Amino acid sequence: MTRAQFAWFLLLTLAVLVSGVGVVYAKNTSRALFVESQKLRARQDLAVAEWGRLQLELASEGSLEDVVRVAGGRLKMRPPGPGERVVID
Amino acid sequence: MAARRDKRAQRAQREEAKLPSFALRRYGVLTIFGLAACALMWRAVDQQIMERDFLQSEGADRYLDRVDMIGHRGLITDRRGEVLALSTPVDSVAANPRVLRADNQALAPLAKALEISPEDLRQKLARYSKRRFVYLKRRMPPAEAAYVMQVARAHELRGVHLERAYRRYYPTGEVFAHVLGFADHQDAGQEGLELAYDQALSGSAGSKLVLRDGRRRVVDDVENIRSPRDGKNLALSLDGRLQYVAYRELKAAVKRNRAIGGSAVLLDTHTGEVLAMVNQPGFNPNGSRSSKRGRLRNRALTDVFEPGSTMKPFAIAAALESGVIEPGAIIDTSPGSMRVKGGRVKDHHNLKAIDLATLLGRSSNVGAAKVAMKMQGADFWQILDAFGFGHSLQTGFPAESSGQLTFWRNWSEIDQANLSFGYGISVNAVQLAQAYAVLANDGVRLPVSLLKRDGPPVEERVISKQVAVRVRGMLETVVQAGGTAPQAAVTGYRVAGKTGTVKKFGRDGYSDDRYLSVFAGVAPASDPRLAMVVIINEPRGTEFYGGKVAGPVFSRVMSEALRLLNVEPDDLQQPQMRLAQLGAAR
Repeated sequence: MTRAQFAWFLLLTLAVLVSGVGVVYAKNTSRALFVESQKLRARQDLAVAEWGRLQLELASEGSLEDVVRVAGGRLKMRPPGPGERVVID
Repeated sequence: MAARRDKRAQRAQREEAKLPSFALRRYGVLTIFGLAACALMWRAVDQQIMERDFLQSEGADRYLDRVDMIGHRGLITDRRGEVLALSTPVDSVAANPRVLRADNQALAPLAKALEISPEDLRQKLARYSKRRFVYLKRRMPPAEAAYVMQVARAHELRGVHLERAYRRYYPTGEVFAHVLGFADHQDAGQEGLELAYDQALSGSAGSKLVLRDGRRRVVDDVENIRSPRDGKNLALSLDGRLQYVAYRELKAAVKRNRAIGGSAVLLDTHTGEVLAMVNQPGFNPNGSRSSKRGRLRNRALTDVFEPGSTMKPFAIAAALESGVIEPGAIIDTSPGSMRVKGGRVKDHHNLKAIDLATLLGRSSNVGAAKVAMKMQGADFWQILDAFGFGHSLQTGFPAESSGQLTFWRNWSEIDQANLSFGYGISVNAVQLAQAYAVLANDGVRLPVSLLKRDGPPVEERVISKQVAVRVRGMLETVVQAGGTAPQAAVTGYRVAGKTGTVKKFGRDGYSDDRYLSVFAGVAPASDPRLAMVVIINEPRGTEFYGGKVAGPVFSRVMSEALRLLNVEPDDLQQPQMRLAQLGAAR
């Protein structure tokens, strides 16, 4: 083995080692990130569930039907009559 | 002394000669050990190299598992972003009856947490004791399901677990029911826009690798196999406020007139977008969804009808456009009936000589027929075809009907006459609204859309602007005193519209006591922004004329819609309104 061949041998051996460690590192990082993303997704699911619940609450509490009923009943509101409308340009 | 030493040496020599040789045994043992070592080496090589994949997969099967990840179904919102349909997670509590036995003493607290009786729970577990899976309670809010699991853990009940699914909710209930349709318990669209846009709305499931312990519980996530993809959101062109007003007024009118059903459609004439679309009878998309009496049908798009007198403006427009009559033409309708080859056309009263505005205002069949008969069949057909009659609206809505306009070559004389007042042609409510939107939009047709538009739609000119403006002007007489529908007038705005009272076609031909009451119109007439069609199906009260039954619905909904959309009034009669305007201008 000439000096040059030996140098190549060393270099390539080192490269194989580095790439091996790189693969292990990347795999580990990807797994860690995936686990993290799953935790965040679980949190997102909870948030979506909560948001959905609040949307339904909003829809039932603030339905136009109820608004009209409360406005016309308790607050004694009514649409303005023909002579009561003012147009502002 | 020497003799004794010799004797001892001889004895030693004799003893030595008597010792057995162990060489063979030694080699034998060594060979066995050698073979054993070789066998072990071979087995190690075999397992580590030859059988490696098989053994690894067998091992992984015992602690790794592939689990699906659900992609969320997209939201549906109205044009203002109000949520109309959303999927929220629900959990089903399931048990393995082979593990969770019916004779378990700790079932009572579990039953309490599930809000079922302990006896029911016990019976269920006993009934399915040979199976590995049974639902204890389905579709619970996640928080309640988590509490059940907490109770199960506290009492060390094994064999209870959760299953995650998504349930579709419709916060507006019946108001948007026909437009949206609904999705089934697996979150797949079954009716309406949920079905039409199912592919876009539904996400695709992903999967991941998880680590399980000896009790098959998930300990940790290992690897992503395929990421789930959430469905796209859908923004409708409809406005929740206008939809509600239309729903409320239609429902009240159907009840008031003891009708079997009805539809109402409101279009934005500048964009072709549908702003409201309601039908009666309705259904609750969150409830039983019974299809009795066709409750699930979005009649405005799926059902066709003969438009009756609401068709007259198009006959007049076609005649003006093709130049066979002048705008100031006087038509003699005496004696209130006329004979046409193949039949007879009649009016309720003899209106004698009338102009085109009176023809529409008093709704003369004879007048309309006389005008239509002046045209070449091909010209009349071509213009009606360009208005969109007989063409699919291409909304993509399931079971949308395209109506029918017979080709002119197949017309007899009476067919052409009948067509002028809306018999022998079938349309759906949205098609009729679109045709009125053409009159409103100065003769330009826009494609109808149920989704909010991003850009300007493709325009198609049907009639000239002058003809459209003229016909609109004539239609204003309909809602004025002396017209057929003063009830359809809207305070502060000019309205152009037309009534229709259509005899229904049944098994024995046209019925004399079953009608469709129709009103179609646009407002404000000076520069229309909205077009609307109201249909009340078989009113059985004291009234059945389109103006009296459908007209008030038009008036109320249009009045609210114009106010909500901040459309400027074009019929300011009250002095204080004018003063306010002058004051603001100063």
